[in-house]
Amino acid sequence: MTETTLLPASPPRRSTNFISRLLRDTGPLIVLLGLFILLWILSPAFRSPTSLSILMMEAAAIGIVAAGQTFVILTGGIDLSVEAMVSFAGVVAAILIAGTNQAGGQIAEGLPSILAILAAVGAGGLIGMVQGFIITGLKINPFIVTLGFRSILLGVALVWTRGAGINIAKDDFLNFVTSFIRIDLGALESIVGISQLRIPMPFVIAVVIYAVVWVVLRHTKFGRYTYALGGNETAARLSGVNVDRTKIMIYAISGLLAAISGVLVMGRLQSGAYQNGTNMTLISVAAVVIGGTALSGGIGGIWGTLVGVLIIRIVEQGLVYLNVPSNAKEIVIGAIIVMAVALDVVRRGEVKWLRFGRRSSPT
Amino acid sequence: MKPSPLLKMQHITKRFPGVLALSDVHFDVESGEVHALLGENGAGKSTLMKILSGVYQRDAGEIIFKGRSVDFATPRQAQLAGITTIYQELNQIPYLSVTENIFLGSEIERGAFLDWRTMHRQARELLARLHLDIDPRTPIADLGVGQQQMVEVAKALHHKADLIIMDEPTSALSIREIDDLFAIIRQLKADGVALIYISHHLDEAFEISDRITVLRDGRHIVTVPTDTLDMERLITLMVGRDLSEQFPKEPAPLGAEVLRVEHLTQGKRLKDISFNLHAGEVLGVAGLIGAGRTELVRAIFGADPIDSGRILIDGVPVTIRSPQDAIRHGIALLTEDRKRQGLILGMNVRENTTLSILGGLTQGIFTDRRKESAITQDFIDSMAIKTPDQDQIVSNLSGGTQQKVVLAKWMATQPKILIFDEPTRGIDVGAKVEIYKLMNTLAKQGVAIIMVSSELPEILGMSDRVMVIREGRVTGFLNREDATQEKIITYATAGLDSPGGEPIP
Amino acid sequence: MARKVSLAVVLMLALSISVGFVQGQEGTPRRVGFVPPALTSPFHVAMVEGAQARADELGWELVVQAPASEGDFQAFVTTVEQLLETGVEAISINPIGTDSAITAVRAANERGIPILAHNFITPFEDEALEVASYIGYDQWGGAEALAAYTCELIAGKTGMSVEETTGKVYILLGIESIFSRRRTGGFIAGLEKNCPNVEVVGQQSAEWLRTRGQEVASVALQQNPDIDVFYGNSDEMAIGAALAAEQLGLVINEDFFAVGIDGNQPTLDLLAQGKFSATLGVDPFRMGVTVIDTMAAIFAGEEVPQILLTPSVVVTPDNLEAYLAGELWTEPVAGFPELDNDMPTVPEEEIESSS
Repeated sequence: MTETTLLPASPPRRSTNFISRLLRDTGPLIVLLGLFILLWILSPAFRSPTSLSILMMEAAAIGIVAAGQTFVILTGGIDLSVEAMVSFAGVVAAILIAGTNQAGGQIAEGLPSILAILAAVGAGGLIGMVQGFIITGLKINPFIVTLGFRSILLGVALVWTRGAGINIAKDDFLNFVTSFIRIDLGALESIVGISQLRIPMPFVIAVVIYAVVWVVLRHTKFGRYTYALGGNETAARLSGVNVDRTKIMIYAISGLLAAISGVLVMGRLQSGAYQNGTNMTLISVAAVVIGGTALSGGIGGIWGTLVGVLIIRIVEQGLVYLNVPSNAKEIVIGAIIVMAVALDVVRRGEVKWLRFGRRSSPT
Repeated sequence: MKPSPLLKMQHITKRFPGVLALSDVHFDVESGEVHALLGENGAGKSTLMKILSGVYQRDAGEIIFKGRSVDFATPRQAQLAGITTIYQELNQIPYLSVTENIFLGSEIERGAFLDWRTMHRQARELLARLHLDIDPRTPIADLGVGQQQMVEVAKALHHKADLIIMDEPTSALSIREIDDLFAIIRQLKADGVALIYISHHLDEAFEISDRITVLRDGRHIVTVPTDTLDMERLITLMVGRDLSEQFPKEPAPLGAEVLRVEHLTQGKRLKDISFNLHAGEVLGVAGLIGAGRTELVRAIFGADPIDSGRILIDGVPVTIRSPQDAIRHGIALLTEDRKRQGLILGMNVRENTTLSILGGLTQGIFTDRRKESAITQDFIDSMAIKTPDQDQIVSNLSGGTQQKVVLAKWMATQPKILIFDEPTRGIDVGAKVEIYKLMNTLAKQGVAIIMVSSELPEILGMSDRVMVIREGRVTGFLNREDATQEKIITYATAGLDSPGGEPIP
Repeated sequence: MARKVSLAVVLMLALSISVGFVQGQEGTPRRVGFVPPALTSPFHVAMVEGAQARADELGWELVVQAPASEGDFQAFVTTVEQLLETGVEAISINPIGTDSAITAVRAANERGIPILAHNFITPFEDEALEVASYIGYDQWGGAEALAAYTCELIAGKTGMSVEETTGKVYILLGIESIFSRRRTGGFIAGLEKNCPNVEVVGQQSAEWLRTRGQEVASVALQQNPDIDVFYGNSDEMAIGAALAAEQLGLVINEDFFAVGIDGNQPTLDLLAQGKFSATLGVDPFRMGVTVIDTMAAIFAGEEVPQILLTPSVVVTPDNLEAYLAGELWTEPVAGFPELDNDMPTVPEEEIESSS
């Protein structure tokens, strides 16, 4: 009865708005740059273009998974099946290329890799779609459905491989997919001491995917619906948004991207094994959240996720560069995740006791 | 010498930002009395009771309870002093037992453990006092709404309440259950407990109360013994203000019939509803809360499925299974809860405005940003939407402006039929008038409008025709010239067509 | 109703067939249990296959059950207890969470059912527990032998003598456990003994995974571009390292070597193709056979050694065929327990006296 509408006393000034928005949008980027500079100072080995190349390589596969995860989290859902999908797609592609599911080395008696990859990626998209159907049709929490599919996919990968990796020989297409693009540095050679910068093809693929995702989120109906769904599903439904179809598409995309990632991992390791996707779910969710996308959905973006992925990867690699004892790594990575998210929450002013000067007193 | 009353509230004033909710209100209750507190929505009944029960703090005035001046900072303090409120929405924990709910917050312990035996015994005694045959070990969820309410009464007795406030206690009860409740109220009365009874059902007030107090616009109007009033007089006391200024109705010429609803039925909520609607017409839909108004418009809009009946648009039967279908057929619905159902609060003005027409704004696979901006700007200008720019996030806008954004979203779909559910809830007076004027404009353009509202003045002020609903049925139609608040309330409550109402199975 | 009846008939038929099959064997068929830590690696799959093959020959029923993942110690104990409950005459387990497996051993002891440990020769510290036999290979000794061969590889590259050669070795560790410690300790001891001038330039965990091996090796090569040898506590990690080095333009068996422990089929195939340098072959298939043979000896009332050491050999492209043919397999012998003490499993004086 007494709904009090909060009218802003005066429209917020553009300048403060701009600064706070810049801070919000670039917060994770600043963290990334800080880590980069820190590692640059601390580790001589890091100061070469090749280490950049390695960072890109390591960021590519998980980055693609995280791109799909961004879609899902933007709608307020979560996809716990991605790591299983990475393994599953790799196993499918490897078996098709090898033409056998017997563990063995460097076999390529099956399909040309391009066909095998298309089949694996297609299967990924299809399985994601099935998950979407179950989530929307039976109204089951995505957490449960994707957790179930995680088990199913890992189990299938395990049964098909009998625990061993399926080794494959790379054909031209796979060689291309895992190759490097060399960029001559020319005059810079004297400064960095190396004549070429090698950009891994998987990273190029990842960046292309990110660009496409950005366009989709920003400039298509589907992208708008993704945000609308996460912002307020009821309102979106009542506005005529086909919520179910959008969700099914979202999970299909997540499955598809995880499968693409799975194929890249498989190509790089030349082996389709059920362990290929280990830890990717956790890392992808962490990257999305570090990148500023709210777990509750509706707020966030794709580039933040890429920055999040790079932050996690640079921390992991930094620990190797700095010879930090292996067992301490988990602690550092966990702490970084919690701190990055905590920083974000504080920055957005959502923590009451950390906001100064506006303490409300009980009347 | 007359004994001093159990409760005496004097000169109570309460101000909310921008609103004077209560102004110098007097109210008193005697022991063993049932005192009905009546008034329209927004008259100040709930505010007054929340001040009494410690939810709100008064700005001025005095409360004397059992001869002492009191000042409750929290509901808990009021409860300890002997004032218990039984809310419309029951505050019970469904999977805990009756005993656990009664003793929630005042558990009896023996050492570190709960003393179940004592608690069950006391619970059984309380239930027996209310003639209730319920095992105290039963989970609350297994009881009917009526019984749940009785348990709430038992809880009040457990807290040794001298004064029980009942806010719309019968809204979810069947006739049988209401009879049971009244029996218990009479018994409590006999035991010397006082009750404040708040209800929209005026006939109930006549049946159970000893005295009636009427509030209007935050002011005390009258306190009289119930038997000195009749229904008509009571309604006149409750309403009675000049509405011409507030409602700038400009009649539009009626066109052809655009919507016909026949025998629409949905479970127990909607029963055999039929009506029609013409282009340029504003059909007001009145009824009590829970009568089925929102359910009706949601069903027409395809948000909830219907069991039977049909809908014709422009004379052609249509199938509407989802909001998308409805939108395709030119229907738009402004929901009653703007924030939860109407807007994507985290999105900006442009994104909200074009949400329902994005499909038409897509070129190839991309949305046409320029067209989107142009359409949004048109609405911002034509509807005077007060926003710094299109990129403003709508959660930063005022209630009235938000409502305009929702309206813009629907006008963008160029609807033939526009349904408003509580169009002006939570909006200040100035913005209300602007919304009404927009309604006039739309009607003149030939849009057919359905307006669901709980505010009778709004219904009377803006409708060409009024449809009244009670318990899921249409109880009457009134033309603009015939419609009065009294008639609407009569149709909506006591009911001319079936006096006494029907039991809800 | 009709469906229920037909289902019951099918079930009974199936039962009678299986009973008939078992009883078709001469004498009473033995029913024995076999519990790997999980069936998620080819190593354990191969061991099961060996045990199964031998059990089939003997006409025994072999019940294999394993937890879904290796880290799930609780499921491991539950699995063992369930097998005991269903009635087995002997059981062999591969405990990796050593202390948690004690519960499982105790359960077998209480029922008086002989329990064996396979791929595991570190006796439980609880003296009251009775394990009929620990069957497995000497990880320390195997790693030491692999190190000796690694020294030869490095010497071959540098052109110096084995004793004098210098070189750089990078170690990819498994997740911290007795397994990773023994395999690392033995390897380092082997390097010191055979080529003391070779330096271990780094050790990092790669969590037993090929992906992590690749990631860690990529970075390691940034710090030390001239690493000569990647040694993995498991082959998979070393294979990952080899792929990483190749991606940086290095050529295996020329610029660098990759060696590891396990000798699984995928590794052996890579070895045959010149994509790997050497692995420690422990022949899990024949280890599985040994488990069943030991059970048979116990059933026959024979004395079995407390520690039964199975052989391990350094498999190189040269002896690969012989290894695959089983020619390098030697009969298991009574051995010494492998303790988590940073010392060789087989005491130095024993080696000297036997040689």
